[in-house]
Amino acid sequence: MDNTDNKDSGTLLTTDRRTFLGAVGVLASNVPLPTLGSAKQDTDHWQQPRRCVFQQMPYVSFDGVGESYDVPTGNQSTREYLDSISREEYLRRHWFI
Amino acid sequence: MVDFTNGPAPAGFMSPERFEADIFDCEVEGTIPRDLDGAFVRVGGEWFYPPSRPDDSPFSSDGFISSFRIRNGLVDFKGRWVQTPRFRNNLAARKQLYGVYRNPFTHDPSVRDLDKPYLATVANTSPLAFGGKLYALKEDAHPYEVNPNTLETLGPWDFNGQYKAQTFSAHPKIDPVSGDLICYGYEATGLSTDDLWIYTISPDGNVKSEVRVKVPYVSTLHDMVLTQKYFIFPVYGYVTSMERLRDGHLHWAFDKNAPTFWGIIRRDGDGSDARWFRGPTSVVMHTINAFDDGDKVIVDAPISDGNPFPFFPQLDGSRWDPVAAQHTIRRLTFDMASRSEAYDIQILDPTNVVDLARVDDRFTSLPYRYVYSSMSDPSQPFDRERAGNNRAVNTYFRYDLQNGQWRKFFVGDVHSLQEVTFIPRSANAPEGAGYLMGTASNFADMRTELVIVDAEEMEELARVYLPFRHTPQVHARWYSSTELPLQDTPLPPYTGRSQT
Repeated sequence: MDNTDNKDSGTLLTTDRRTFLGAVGVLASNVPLPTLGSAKQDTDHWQQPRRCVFQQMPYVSFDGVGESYDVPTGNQSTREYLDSISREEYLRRHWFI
Repeated sequence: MVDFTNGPAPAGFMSPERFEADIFDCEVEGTIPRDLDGAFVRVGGEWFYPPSRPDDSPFSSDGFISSFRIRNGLVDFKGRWVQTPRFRNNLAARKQLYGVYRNPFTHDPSVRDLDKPYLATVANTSPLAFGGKLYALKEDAHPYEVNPNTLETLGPWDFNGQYKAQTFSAHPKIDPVSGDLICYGYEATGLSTDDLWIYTISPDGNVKSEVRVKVPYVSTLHDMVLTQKYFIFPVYGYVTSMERLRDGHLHWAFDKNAPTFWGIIRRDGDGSDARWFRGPTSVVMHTINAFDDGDKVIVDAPISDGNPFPFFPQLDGSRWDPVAAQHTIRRLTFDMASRSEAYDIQILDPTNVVDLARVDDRFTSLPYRYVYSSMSDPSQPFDRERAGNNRAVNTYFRYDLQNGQWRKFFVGDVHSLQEVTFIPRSANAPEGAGYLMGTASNFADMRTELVIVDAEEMEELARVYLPFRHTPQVHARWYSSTELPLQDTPLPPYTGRSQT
């Protein structure tokens, strides 16, 4: 079994790029048209009104393969400044922000 | 040399930015309702040069006006300094020439003019659109007209010389029935004068009436309310005098023993009918609305028992009291048929709210149902690790005056909201059907965000991201394209070379 599997894998790996793309084209030509239609519709979320759900994630990956987004850890200067003054002094200086 | 190392904020979110900005096609998350066609106009203050004294008020900072132009779901942003004489003089001198809040005795001699204190205005408080024109307001001078598309400062405006008072409040009202502008100036004839002049101006810009009255004592008349019969003015707590100004103090101190007066003046009279009701010490920096109910006048306002501003000192030298600074929504009832100078006070809800409350402006001076403002909801999270030990006004609310119910919208755990504005869905939509809009400071990401919320569902519809922290805001308003002659933002010009 192992040998057979290895042989099949080796066949796939040795397939050149042109052969591979040709095979993909043949396979795609056999896909029913409605399926292709629904695949197109998967991108319709770009066109449809979407309700904003703010989750601190400005860079959402819609297809699930995008880079993960690490939320910032805050601004150290802001924290140090705020820690250096009292709450009353903060309000006195920055009543509106 | 400009040096902010001694404050008011040498670094971090509150440090001055000092630049003007244009963003063509802002970043948007969600979908902006297509029926929004207008501009969200924001006015606030930023120190271009550091204040001359550390005890000065942030209300002395330089005026800045900005606009989120919204149309077809797209947003273009623009921000400009309001080019008052003070701002220009400081630029020319490359330093701060002006002293503390509204005290010309403390200004540099080169710009000191005791008879024309309005020349030191910073136009940093509120926008106003009226008669197709846009203004930046501050209550110590005439309105500064600004081009609604370019935000270029066009200068002070006195309605073709018909507006005689030296000052113009930051909170005029537009009567939704007549379309008239009701505006006023206090300290109308100069520093520390007890003159209150009230004007009614038609949409074509002509003054229809002027009413002159004397106030019980010189105080902050920052806001007013209106019914169909009356002008209504609160006089409260903050006091000033020429002696105080000569001694070099900020314009206002808070006298915790001063009574509150409410002046109720017939709109169709000459001011001789003015009645002054008297009540306990309070501060009514902002109002909500008022309406007539037979012989009674109903006034709603967010009111505190003491001084909300720690930068205006207590007159007796006592410490600022943060508990007395808290605001609750109160309903005051004035019986115009009685001869008593007393009035009834009802606290509608004990919740501590931000006093920047708004209504559906189509119901100004009329019976109404909903109050909108913001609050710090302690039941919601605040990420101090990322946002710092900051102020967290984290929630918009709608308060239903009919049944006392609250509906809330939480903005995020690293945010603090500025004043909200209500936008009706259409001219004929029922009260409350529309959107809430306002900006929020995102302390963790160091940026400002414009939030658009369904005012009935209290759910977020869209958020516009500015890639920077915007100048602090005092007040903001939404103006539709029917109120201002707004144009589509032109493509930014390019006059350089091209490869053919």
